[in-house]
Amino acid sequence: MSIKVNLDIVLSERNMKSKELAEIIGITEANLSILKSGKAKAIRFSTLEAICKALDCQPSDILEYIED
Amino acid sequence: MLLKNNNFMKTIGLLKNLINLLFWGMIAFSIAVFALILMFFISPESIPLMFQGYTMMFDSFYSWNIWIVPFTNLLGFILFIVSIYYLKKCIEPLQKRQFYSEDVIRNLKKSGRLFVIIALGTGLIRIITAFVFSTYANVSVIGGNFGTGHQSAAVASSIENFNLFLLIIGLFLLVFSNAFENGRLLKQENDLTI
Repeated sequence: MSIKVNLDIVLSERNMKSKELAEIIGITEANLSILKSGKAKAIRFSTLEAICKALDCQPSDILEYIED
Repeated sequence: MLLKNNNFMKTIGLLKNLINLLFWGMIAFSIAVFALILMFFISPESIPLMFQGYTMMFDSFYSWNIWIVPFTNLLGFILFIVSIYYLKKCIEPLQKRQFYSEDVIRNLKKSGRLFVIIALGTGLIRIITAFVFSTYANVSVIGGNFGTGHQSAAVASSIENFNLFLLIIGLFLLVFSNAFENGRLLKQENDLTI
């Protein structure tokens, strides 16, 4: 996939666990795991906004485009 | 607007009962006919009186090509039972509201294909037979040439509404299967949207 999700890196920089983030943004851990593993087909703006707010970061910190 | 849950369950329940009735009815009918045919070959005298008239049917089968139409109809009937069996298998996931499950999509496709094969197969054999027999009748029985008018009439009368209806239902099932397949992909995409 050409869009890489760097959520793990941002989470470790903030010393935050997945479970914690899932609770703050209001999604299940299973869904957060799908997002982290890159299996997700799409991400809602509302979810992205909640993640950015919780981690105090920009969308570009989480998502990265990699040329195939 | 979505069908109300209660109405939907009633509809699907009725559909399930009707399909079960049709399927087991055809199985029972097949067993009864098979038993009668066996009795005819093993001990013709033991056939019940009301069915003994049917034994005359076998007397008229003097040539192999006379068997083509009954054999095609028998094959069509067996395939029809199989296609109803596939429809029967679709009902259970639908009752659980698993509209986009692999089972539903696969079985609808199989059933649809069988309906189309039955409709085209039996229809084609009937048309060819009607054409051939009308030619025989023209040459050997009637002895005169009436042109192609009577052949066209024989061929036209051999195309049954049932075949056309079966073909339409088969194509509809294939379209439904395709629609459900698209629905499954959309659902998968929706489920993987975080």
